[in-house]
Amino acid sequence: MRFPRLALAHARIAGRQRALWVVSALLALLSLSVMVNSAMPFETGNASDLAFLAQMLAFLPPLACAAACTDLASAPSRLGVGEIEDAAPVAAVTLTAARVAGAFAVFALPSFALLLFCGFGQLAHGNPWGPLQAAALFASVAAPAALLAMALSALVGTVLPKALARIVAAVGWLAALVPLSFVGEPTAGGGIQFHIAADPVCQAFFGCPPLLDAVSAAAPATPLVAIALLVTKLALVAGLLVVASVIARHRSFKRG
Amino acid sequence: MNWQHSRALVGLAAAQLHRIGRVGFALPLIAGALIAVVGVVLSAAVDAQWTTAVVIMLMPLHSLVVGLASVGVLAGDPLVELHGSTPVGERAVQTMRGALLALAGMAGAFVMFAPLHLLGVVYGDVGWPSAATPVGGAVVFVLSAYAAAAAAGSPRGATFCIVLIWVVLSFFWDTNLMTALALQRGVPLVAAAVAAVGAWLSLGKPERVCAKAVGTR
Repeated sequence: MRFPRLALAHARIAGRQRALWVVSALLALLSLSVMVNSAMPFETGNASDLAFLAQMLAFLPPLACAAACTDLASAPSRLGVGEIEDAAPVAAVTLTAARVAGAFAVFALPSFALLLFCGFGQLAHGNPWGPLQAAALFASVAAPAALLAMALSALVGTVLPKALARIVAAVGWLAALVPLSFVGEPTAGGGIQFHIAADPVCQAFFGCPPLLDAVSAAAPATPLVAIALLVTKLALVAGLLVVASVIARHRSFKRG
Repeated sequence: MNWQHSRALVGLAAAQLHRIGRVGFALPLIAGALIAVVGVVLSAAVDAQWTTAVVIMLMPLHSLVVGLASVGVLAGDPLVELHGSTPVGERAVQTMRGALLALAGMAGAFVMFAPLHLLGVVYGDVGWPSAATPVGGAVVFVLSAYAAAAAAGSPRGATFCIVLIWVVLSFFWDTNLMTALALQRGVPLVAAAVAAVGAWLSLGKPERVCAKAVGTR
């Protein structure tokens, strides 16, 4: 029973700060505004538009999570609730996972609400599975990205000092994301055009083409590849959290 | 009493420099130098279009570094509380820190821009006035961090605000206004200055500063 209670406490701490709600909602709306030139996902019946929104939600809000969550595993600089929590009779991994889960509940709720809203909009425009697809897209595309960003940020926060940790976590998240999401092709006019590569889950289950804004000759990813990649992402989240919590517990003992 | 006032200011500046020296001054300068070095090395190794593509991706990162370093300095420092009980006051300390950060940010941005401009790998380069983009960006982010630290409830909230402003400026605003430099940097500078003035006014109350600028997780 300890994990849910710890997670709920941290969700309350994060939920009390109005700035976090406002900025998370604004980032979610910003991700939606990318699609203003093509069809907005709540006014078509096409599942691949919903998948595009989920992919944008996996790109922009997790950047803020990566920069801001560096103190989730490490001890804060001033004495406070963190010290009392470190003395609680739970495993280090449970404590870190509860902090991440509590903060995630606040950061990801606006994205989930927006996806669900667009899912219901699709229901009104002829897609009977709209809300279910929205929930599935959140669970398989947007949520793992946010959790990965937070776990990476927590790990970086245990080894580096405050401001440097935030910078390294944010830049590291961008450095990990850009080669995996963008494909550069030289164009005839002498420049380079960057295209957005679709997430394999979106390609396999929601009918997205391999390149989201251009035509590509490659075949879409198979469901097996998509599920394997998703499992790898979640395993990576768990691994990063374990390493971060071990380092943090070791350092809090040394600090005396 | 003018010379005593200026001596007090110099003393305040020296003390804040000592406290924030590594984060506030070194990080923006080192980040600018690193980006310039990467650009120079790449331009010698690969052809111009790939160098320009990489430089497009790296140049906005300097503003992010300045913004996050400013948040680290201006929000979440436990010592700021103590200043409320001294004749100096927290407002003078935060403002002095902001001024020093702005100087360092502008210097770092210029260190980054000058070699890349001379090599000709900056995208949308219209000559030396294009330096207004990174230099003005550094000032915008210091002012925004000053306002965010005074408005948000914790360092985490201030970081969120800075990342939102960075995403809007780098991905949406700057890329669409590459030719209209005055508009591109003028509007964010004015907006950030208005927010900073609001923060300066709200920092006049010591209890509010202790509640907001130091804050919780």
